[in-house]
Amino acid sequence: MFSRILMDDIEELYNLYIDSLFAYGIRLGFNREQVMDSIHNVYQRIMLSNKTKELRSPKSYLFKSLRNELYDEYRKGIRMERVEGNIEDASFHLQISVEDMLIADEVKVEVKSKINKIMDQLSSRQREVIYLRYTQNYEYQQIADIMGIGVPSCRNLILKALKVLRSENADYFLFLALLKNTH
Amino acid sequence: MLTQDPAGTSYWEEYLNQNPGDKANFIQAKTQFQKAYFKEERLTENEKDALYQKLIRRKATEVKGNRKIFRSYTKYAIAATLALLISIGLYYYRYNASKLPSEILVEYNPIQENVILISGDNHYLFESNTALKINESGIVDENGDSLKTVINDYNTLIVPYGKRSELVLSDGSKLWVNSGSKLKFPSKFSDRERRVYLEGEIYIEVAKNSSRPFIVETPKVKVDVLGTMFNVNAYSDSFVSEDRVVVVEGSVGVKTTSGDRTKLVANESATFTEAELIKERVDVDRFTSWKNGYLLFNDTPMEKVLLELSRYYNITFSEESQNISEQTCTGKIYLSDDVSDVLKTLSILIDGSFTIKQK
Repeated sequence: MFSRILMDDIEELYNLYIDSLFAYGIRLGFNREQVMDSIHNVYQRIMLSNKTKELRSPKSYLFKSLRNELYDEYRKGIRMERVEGNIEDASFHLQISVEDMLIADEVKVEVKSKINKIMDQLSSRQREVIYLRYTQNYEYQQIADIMGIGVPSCRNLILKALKVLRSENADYFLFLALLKNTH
Repeated sequence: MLTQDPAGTSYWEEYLNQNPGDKANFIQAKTQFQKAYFKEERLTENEKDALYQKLIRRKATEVKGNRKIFRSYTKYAIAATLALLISIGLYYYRYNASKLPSEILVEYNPIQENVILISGDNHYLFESNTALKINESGIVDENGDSLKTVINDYNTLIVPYGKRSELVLSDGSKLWVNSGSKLKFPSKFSDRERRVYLEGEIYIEVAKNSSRPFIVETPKVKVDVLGTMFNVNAYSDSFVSEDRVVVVEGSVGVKTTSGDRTKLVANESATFTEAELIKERVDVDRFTSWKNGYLLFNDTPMEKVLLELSRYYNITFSEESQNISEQTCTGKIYLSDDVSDVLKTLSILIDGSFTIKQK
């Protein structure tokens, strides 16, 4: 049996982060069922280890665990089906939405395609790092931790991504500068 | 300026200082971009709840030893063997052989919810169809373990879509609770009467006791009995608009909230809509077979078959299903835990295929 305190902590952790965790899993290119299964396993492991109190940054810990869990499952799947595949091919998806009654449809489409074009110029890992930094507000240290890379290479990845964005067109950089939040 | 990136801010401030003519364009572009966001895939509230329940279910099951947490692989292995069984039981007659094969989309919520028993502050979750019993000490589960129960208050049993449960009440009356139902029952009945509250469907064998009438109360109707076997169907969902009481043995009195009354004897059924009460003689097996784990059809239009499956599994069939709605079906459909078993069989029998889409 689990203690009452642990269950309260788990419930809080669950309610706080389930949405962003799920969205992140989907962005990593996995389907709903796989993401739900993995989220289940991540929380289960925390419950079993009884370590909710020791988690200094639960959000980045959860992101990291989910990412590892999904990729582990992915690798297992490849082994079982004997299909050649490279984990780095897995792509990070950012679907753009523009919703505002006051903006004309043509403009929406234009804005969307502009942003999509920018995003296409980034590598999958660059997209992920941009997402984690600018919409999830993670620090370099945490991003490095989540993605399993060193802080310097994390910083490099972001700088490179920004360079790509700046070099293409001023519009793009405007977008990044304004990028506030996800809905 | 709202920004996440200080470098971006200073870049634009500098740019605008040098090119003041671009300011209007900049502001317009800014408002447009501000409306753009990364679309997030979301779980529905139900999915979130179900996932959470699955997570904490370990609490309830751990007591009984190391039961495995849900893993989809084993489920599918069982599914394959079951599908075979169903196809033998179902006979099907084709009317419109000339019609083109239709592809029917089935919307389905992939998360299987648990049967839940609520007694006071205690919640118990059961992964599969369960059988509970009440004795002097309270509610006892399938393995004979006593569950902590409140004695002087009503308990609630919630049976989700795709599941069934059995329950023996403190007076010995036996109940089968169908999928998508909620039943309130006391751990101990009062001296004057035995009363339970229902939303959904039950089949009940009432223990004889002439001094304490048994009453099944639903939002629309009250069924009053002394000792008998009967089925009450009183779903509040949108699949079936009418409530129905079917008597297998003995007799019952029926009173609707709008004031209509009637008495029913064996092999009689009463249906109620907002406006009227219809009494008729029926083949009772057709209405009670679900308690034995299958649906029974006798020259039944496919439309009705699909409707009953919709209700049982909480699924919706796409419009293309109308192409087959006039075909009829005779035989049994086994109510497997996995809806895809049933659909697999149906797709073999009709000129069409079912594609499951997650809700």
